[in-house]
Amino acid sequence: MDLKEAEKLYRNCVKTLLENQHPNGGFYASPPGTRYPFIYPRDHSICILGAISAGHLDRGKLGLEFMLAAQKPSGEFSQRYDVDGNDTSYKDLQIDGNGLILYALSKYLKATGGLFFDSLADRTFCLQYWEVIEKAVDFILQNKNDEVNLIHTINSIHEYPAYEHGFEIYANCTCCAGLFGAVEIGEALGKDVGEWREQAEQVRRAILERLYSPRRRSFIKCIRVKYKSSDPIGYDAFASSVIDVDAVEYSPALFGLIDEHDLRNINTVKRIDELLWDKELGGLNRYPELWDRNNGGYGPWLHFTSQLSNHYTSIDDQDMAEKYLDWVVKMAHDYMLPEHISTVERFEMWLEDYTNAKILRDSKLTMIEQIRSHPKWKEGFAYVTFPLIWPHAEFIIAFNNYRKRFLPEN
Amino acid sequence: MIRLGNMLPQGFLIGIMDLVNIMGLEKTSEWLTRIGEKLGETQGPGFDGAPEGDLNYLPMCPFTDELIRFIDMFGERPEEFKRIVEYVTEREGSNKENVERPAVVNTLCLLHHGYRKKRAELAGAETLHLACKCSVPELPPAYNMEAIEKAGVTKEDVDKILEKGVCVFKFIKRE
Repeated sequence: MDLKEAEKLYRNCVKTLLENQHPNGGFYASPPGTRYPFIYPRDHSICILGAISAGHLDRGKLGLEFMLAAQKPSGEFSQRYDVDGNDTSYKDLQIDGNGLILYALSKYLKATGGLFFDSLADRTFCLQYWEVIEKAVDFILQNKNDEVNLIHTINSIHEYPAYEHGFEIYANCTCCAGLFGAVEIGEALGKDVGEWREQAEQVRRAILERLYSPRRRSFIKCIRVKYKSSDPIGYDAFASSVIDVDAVEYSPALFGLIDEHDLRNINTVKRIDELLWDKELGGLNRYPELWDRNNGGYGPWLHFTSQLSNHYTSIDDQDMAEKYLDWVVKMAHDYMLPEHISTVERFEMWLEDYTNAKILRDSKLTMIEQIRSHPKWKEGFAYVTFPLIWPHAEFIIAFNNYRKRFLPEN
Repeated sequence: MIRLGNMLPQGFLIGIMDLVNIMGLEKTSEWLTRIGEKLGETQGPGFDGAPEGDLNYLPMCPFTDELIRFIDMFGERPEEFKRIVEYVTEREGSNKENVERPAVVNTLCLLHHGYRKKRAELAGAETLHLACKCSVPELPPAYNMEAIEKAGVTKEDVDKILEKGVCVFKFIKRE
């Protein structure tokens, strides 16, 4: 990997991240005037983690303040907000946002304490929002199915109910990590959080038991179930499993629910790398091509590629970590990152599919124009949603992990 | 086709018909609006729809599928539904001062408007419902001309959005 280029990209990722935080605290998913000038709790949480990783704790705190104040009366964090914290969501429940906010808050608390947690950790901030934390935890637990101890959602990270409606792995891992995060915060504040710990343990055990396939030696994507309270779930209208490979099957280790060296994780990552590494373009796709729902054409995603490099870094596999991060560095344009990359040929295939099916809506037409007018189009690439802020945060986290492990003197 | 698992929305529509006959048009329309408001309160401050310049719109009506299913079952658009729309249009239309009134094209517009308006109110905004188009054939769009004027647009602007959507509205932040 060209370390000089990587450093330049890192610096610009930090700059881009900070520039795209509204004074009210929300991180835009993409800059004003582009495709997603809103605040999405999922993207926003990763941006908070990126800010923390880059040492900008004040910005992380500002981001947390924004989101914690925007909680709905039910305890839910919506799919999307405007810069004033008003709900502008248009999709059904995406419960991973609840888990991610709690998780990010616990990481903030930990980061403010550092080596002197007892004396320095920002307990005052957490105490100020304790009621919000309680409601966020309650909301997650309201969506837990007591027969299988998993969290139900309609959408998850891909906003694709066809494959995510039910007990989906990313939603469960983020919520479980969020519950454990709330436990850590509660303990730091001297609260009685024994019941939350028990609930979090139940979810963790259920992920390892029900969302893992021993014969495939891989975590699986989802147990599809229509209703959260179906009991027995075998009689639910959807009752089925999605066993396709998905980049987020790495989530149990990513969110600290199992060790990176755990064989279940090693084998899952092996499957992801074998089946989702793009043979033509490099980089990691998010799910199989046949799901046919990559706006702008099938292709690798910068944030999933950065994310999976963390695994190789954790297990000391520098070659693979470099393979992943180097691809991100090479694909950056003007030291900024798109959502994902496709080829002109795949773009046209996607366009044909969506045109024939008559599902090409207005917002996609704008996106198409932007893809075709991007300088990389002439080189045969479709750069889709440029820039998207989320991958900048993921690269910050991944590159910092890489530096810490392999370049400690840097 | 009714299955036990999906009878609730259809049952609700039958309930509206019955309520018109039991309680009358005024009470039924208030009841529908109140349901929307109560649901809005549970969700807190928020703004509906996709932005289109200064306006917002819904690309499709979330109630259409159930409504059409209902009409398919009952043959005609139920008389009670028509009467609610006529009643509200006449009552609200006569009060030109109430620029925040809904542009009603079907019964469930009341439910939606109560919900949308309550959430905008919680966010400190006024709601102008400019127009609405029903996906049920043969029904003309409904307009709120006072709202269109206050929004600073023309009927032609609104019609342009109705070509790709069903419901046009504007939120104005209160000072």
